[in-house]
Amino acid sequence: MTFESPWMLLGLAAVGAVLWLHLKPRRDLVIPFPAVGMLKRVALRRVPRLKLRSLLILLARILAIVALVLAVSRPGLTVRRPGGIRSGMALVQIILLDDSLSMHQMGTDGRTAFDRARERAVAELDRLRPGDACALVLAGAPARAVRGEAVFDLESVRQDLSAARPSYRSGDMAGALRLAAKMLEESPLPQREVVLVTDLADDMWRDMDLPWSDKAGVGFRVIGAVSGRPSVNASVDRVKVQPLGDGVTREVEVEVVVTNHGDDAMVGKEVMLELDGQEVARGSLDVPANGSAVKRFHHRFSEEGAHRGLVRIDGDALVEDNIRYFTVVVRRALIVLVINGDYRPGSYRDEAFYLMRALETPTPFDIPIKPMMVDVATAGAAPLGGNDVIFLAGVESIPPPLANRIIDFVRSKKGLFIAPGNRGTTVAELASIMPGRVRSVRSARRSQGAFSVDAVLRSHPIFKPFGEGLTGLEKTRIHAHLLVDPDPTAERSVVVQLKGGLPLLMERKVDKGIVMLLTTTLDRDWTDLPIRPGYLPLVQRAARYLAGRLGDREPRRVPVGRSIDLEVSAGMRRLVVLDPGDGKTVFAAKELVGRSRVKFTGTMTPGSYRVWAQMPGFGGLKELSDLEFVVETDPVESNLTRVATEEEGDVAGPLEGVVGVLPVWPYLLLFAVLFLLFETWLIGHGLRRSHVSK
Amino acid sequence: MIERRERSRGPVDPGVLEAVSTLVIEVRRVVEGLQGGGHASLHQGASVEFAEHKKYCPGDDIRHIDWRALARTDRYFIKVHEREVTLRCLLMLDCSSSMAYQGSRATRSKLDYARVLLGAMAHVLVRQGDAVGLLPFASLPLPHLPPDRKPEYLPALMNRLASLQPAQDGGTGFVEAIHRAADHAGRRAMIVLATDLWDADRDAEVALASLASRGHDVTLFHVLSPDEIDFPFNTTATFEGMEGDGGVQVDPALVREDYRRAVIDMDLRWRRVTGEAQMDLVSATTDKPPEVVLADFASRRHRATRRQ
Repeated sequence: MTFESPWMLLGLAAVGAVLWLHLKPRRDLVIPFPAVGMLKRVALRRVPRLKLRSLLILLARILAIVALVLAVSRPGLTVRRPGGIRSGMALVQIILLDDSLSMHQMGTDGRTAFDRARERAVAELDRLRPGDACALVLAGAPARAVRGEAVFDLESVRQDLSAARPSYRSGDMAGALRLAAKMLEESPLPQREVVLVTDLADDMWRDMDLPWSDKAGVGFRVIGAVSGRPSVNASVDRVKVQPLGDGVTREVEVEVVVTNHGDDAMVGKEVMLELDGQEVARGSLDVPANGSAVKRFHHRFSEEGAHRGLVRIDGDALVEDNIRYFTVVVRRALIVLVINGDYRPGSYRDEAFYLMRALETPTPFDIPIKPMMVDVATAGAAPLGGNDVIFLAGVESIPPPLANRIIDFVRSKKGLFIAPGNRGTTVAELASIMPGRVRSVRSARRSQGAFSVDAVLRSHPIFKPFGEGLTGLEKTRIHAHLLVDPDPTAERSVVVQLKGGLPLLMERKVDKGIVMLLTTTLDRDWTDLPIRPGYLPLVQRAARYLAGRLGDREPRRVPVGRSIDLEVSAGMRRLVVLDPGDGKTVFAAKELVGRSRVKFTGTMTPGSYRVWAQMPGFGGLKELSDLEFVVETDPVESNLTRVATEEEGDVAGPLEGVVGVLPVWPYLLLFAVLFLLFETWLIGHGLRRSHVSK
Repeated sequence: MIERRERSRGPVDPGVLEAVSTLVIEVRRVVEGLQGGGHASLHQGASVEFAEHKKYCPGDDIRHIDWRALARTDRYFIKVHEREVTLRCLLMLDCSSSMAYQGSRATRSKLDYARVLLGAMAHVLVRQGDAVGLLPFASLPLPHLPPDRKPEYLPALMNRLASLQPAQDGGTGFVEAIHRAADHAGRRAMIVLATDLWDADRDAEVALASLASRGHDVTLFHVLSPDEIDFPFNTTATFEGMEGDGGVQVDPALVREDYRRAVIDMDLRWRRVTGEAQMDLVSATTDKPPEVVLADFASRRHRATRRQ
């Protein structure tokens, strides 16, 4: 016997109160009456019967109180329920049907695991009786209830089961259990049971805790939908595409990881690469038992742009994981020339030490940056045209020919980023394209502390992704910076501003190019900016911005079933997402207006999703390759290893210790009501308490 | 003040008096009286009521010789007439504390009701020339008024009736009151008792029977409140006796039927006792108009007298 609210048992003290109220001398109404003698003779004949009645009333009251107190403390009888609960009381049953990718696996009888699971679920439904309630929860990520709550119309649940199909989703057993717990909580029925019908894939049980306590009185059963030995399965777990060289040759390497989930090694497993709808390469590899092997393909594209491809392996028990899709955007890497004004190779004191580390760091989905560092002398001899952006880090002066070449470089739709050295002098030779005239250096006094960032131009492309969130620059401390008089004639703007309104980062458009001036150092001489979290995104996004390639990035990858945010540009009139099955999802203008992104949730099928948009001033739809994304299956689903069980059917397995609690409080409540009715009947038919006194 | 003024005029409403003004109360038995009146006496005498002839004996008053009979038979016969006398009536009023009970449905207490009943009766009797006396009784002896037939005696009797209050202490003194009545009533009088009989035990029954056996015409007005008959109470309560006889805590719903049955039994017993002793028992429930009770009683008396 367990009690859900044992502290409620304190209510048993009320029995004492009942006793006291029953036995305490009563202060009845006194009525003068002449025939008391006769009344006494009549009442005396009734005394034995009245005493018995009074005793019965007291007993009924005590029993009613005890039953009521026990009922509100919600007692339950601990019972084991291998076959589920079944008694006279109504039952609410939540069927968790696993519809994850692994349920596609084919059995020896030619039926999928999902077909068998559905069959078992229908059998469970058949066990229910009129008055029972049932709900169907599909356990693919994210878990979702087909209806909001358990329903008494069992036929509708049967129809839900017929309509259910296996998905490409990963499993979300924890989410499914949480949903089941919520629905059980909302159900008024006294008996509660959760039945999980699944292929018992091993991964499902990781980190899984039942979201209810053993005392909650919830029966939980797991029914396996597959039998026999686990099927042999291999899967394409990962495809990585990366450009070779600096991308000028449009050659890429496609790295394929194939995993063998079986206990026998696979020899000569065939792997095929398909690009833009055509098979372009085929190879084979040996995959060890319960291990992975890597196959690399090299391919040279004839033109830049987005190319869709897939990697396929031979068929096996689960064909859905034998294909993995990808999209590769062929562009050359961003070339950045860093001209170092204080070149100290290998030392953190080097002027460009932090800058180089920040530029070299790869970031997901973004076109890689290839920085090259030179000193001023070398830069004078090197060609500048092959670069996308030039960084002048701590350069005090440059030869005029180099200055002229840099000015020409900027004017030809390129970018220049200038930061001073610790002496506070900047290249005077580039004064004609600078965002402002450098006046002097302003250093923070000891008494006033360091300068700090006051405002960031959040509408600027560099900071746009941060929205209204933190940029990582907020706590930056600046001990010294250049005082710059803005050039009133130039088209320039302050991107980052210090407290006091002085600029920290300024830009100026020069013909088709852009020049940015950071008024403090790129190393730690004047500031702690290089060790702030905002440094890397600032430097990388500034480089891409200056090169005009801020939107260039690899297509994003999302798991099946997870939503993805698509960025909306100003004035966008229509956004169309085309799924791999050529199904269209259209976002109309009214859904786009005033929004920076929309959420696309139709990621149910693995493959490449292409995005078109109708832009202002552009007649038809324009493909936005930077919004293209790939939906992938979860490799975890490919592991068909099961939890320890040999037979199809009810499984103890990890749930061996689970016992159920049969709630008995409804019975106690019933008893309390019956006792109260009995007490009322006794009072209505006799004296509550009577004695004759003289 | 109003109540006092009413009291000074007597306990009986004028309406009641008007209703009983035409009543004639007759005695069921022959009675003895000093003055001539309307009621039959055991003794012969001057009267209009012829009784029989008897032979003349020396010493008989020659005024009573029937001359016509002498002329027809040539013998002397004396005409004997039945003597009619006035009635002596003693009204006995129970003034015990239980008579103060009124109940929920009656408009007056039992004592008030009995006061009206006896007052009206006195009015009728005095009007028909009978002598009426008053003997109130309670646990302690109370002053009584001897019977008198003078009309001017009636206001004094009424005032006495009006001034009577229920006793504060317990008991009725029923038997003692019967003995006192026997002493004061003289020979063959009419004795009328108004009581609730709650304190009347076996001794009281014997005393009453003894009173009747002496030749008195005894009438018992059994005055009860309707609540004493029906016991209509609902809530459990302590019913406290009014004559110091303690209390009892009961749920009326449980004992009501038994109580009603006991009241009926008591009534039957008293009817048997009064019947055997040739007394009259009149049920006088306080929700019944007293003039109606008196009219019923007079009518019954009339029928009984005619039968005799």
